[in-house]
Amino acid sequence: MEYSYYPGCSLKSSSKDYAESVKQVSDKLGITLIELSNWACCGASVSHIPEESLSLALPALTIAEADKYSRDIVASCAACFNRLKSTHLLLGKYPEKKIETEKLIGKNLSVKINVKHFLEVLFEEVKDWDSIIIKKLKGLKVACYYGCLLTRPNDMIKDGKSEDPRMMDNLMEKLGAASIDWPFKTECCGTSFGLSKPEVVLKLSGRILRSAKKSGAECIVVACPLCHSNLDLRQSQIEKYNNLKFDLPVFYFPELAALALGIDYRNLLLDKHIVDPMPLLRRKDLI
Amino acid sequence: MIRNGISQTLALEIEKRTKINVFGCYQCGKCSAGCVFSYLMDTPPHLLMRLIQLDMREKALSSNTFWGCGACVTCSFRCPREIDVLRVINTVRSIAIEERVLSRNNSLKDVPIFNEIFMNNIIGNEHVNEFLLGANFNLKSLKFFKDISLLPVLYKKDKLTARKKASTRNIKKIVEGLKGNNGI
Repeated sequence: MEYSYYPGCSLKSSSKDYAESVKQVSDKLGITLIELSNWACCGASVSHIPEESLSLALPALTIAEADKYSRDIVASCAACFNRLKSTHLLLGKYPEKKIETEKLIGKNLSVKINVKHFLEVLFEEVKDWDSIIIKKLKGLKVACYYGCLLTRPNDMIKDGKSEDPRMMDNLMEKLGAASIDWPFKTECCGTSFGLSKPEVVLKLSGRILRSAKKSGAECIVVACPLCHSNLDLRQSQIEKYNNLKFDLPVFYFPELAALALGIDYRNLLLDKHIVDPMPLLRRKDLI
Repeated sequence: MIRNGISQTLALEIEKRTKINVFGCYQCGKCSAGCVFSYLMDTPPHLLMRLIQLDMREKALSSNTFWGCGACVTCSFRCPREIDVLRVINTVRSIAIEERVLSRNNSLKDVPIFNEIFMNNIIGNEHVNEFLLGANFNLKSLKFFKDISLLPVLYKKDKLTARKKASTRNIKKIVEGLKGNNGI
């Protein structure tokens, strides 16, 4: 199936590894992601934007662009996905907001096409994983970390259990990994406080890493570039701050899907990770 | 508060902007209990709701609730009265910015600096340039050496280069339109 693809800013800079894994997996599965040529930043978080009309106008620019092609929009960043989908739902619910936003961006909005996260796309597109998996992720204990924006509010990913989402866990289990039960899968990592007040991230992400480690995880799986930055790039700062050692590699979910689908690990830009995932993958005989 | 000759409470102003009725809140405190950022706030979410109900305008607008909020959506999600608390918090922030009310607590002073740099970054580039975001933040917040130890590894792993500057200027146009509209 064909989708309009919205990569978002992070996938073009700090998370090129995520972008590459999405590309490799969608190519392998015959999912066509056509990048929108004229996309603009979604605003990332409503907290960064001084007023609501602007926080709606930014994603609306991309929704209007995608309207031209009548294909559903796919985002792989949890924040982009949330901003696009929340805006889409709000404009559908309040006609006067839609008119105000249309005036502001100077474009009409149909609010008809859907917004999906790449995780949902994998779920919908692949019915029978068993027949396409080349190498099961046997014995790999993963902590699936959803963060905030993939599951909140209720109508984000179609999972049905926002307090205890299962979609990523189900995917990991289909790939042959063991997804552990742990209490921090939807707690916030501290978002952009990494810049404006770093102690917040060191504290909140520290709790997440500690809980994953304590629950027996060998790695964490994420679906958001900022969660990845906080848990991977800042892991050594977090270790120092909390006086603990974690050494937990953090994967994007399509990276593990790619390995299971038999895609060569050298195509995956895993060397961009800060916590080196290679020793774990070698130990589990996955590369 | 008298605006355009008509007295208007903060609750009414929020209702006009969002259609949210803050009097639906019965102060159960679930929003604050679930908020991982509440320890940063002088006024946790349920107390901000109460200040609005009581029309304690200055106290609400000078709180740091909206600077401590990470927009994780837990408050709105768990509200048994289905009030979009996050939207209320953001609306109070918008009003505080419009009326230039200063925070009475200084502990989160770098957050508005970050937000302003973020906005300027996307106005100039149409997308976020993460390197410029970090560098400008350090300059403006006078934290010149913050995260400097991460720089070599970010450079080596090619995490600093960004998408080419877009040719369109849509975001700039929108922001200019809002300014003319008595917006930001």
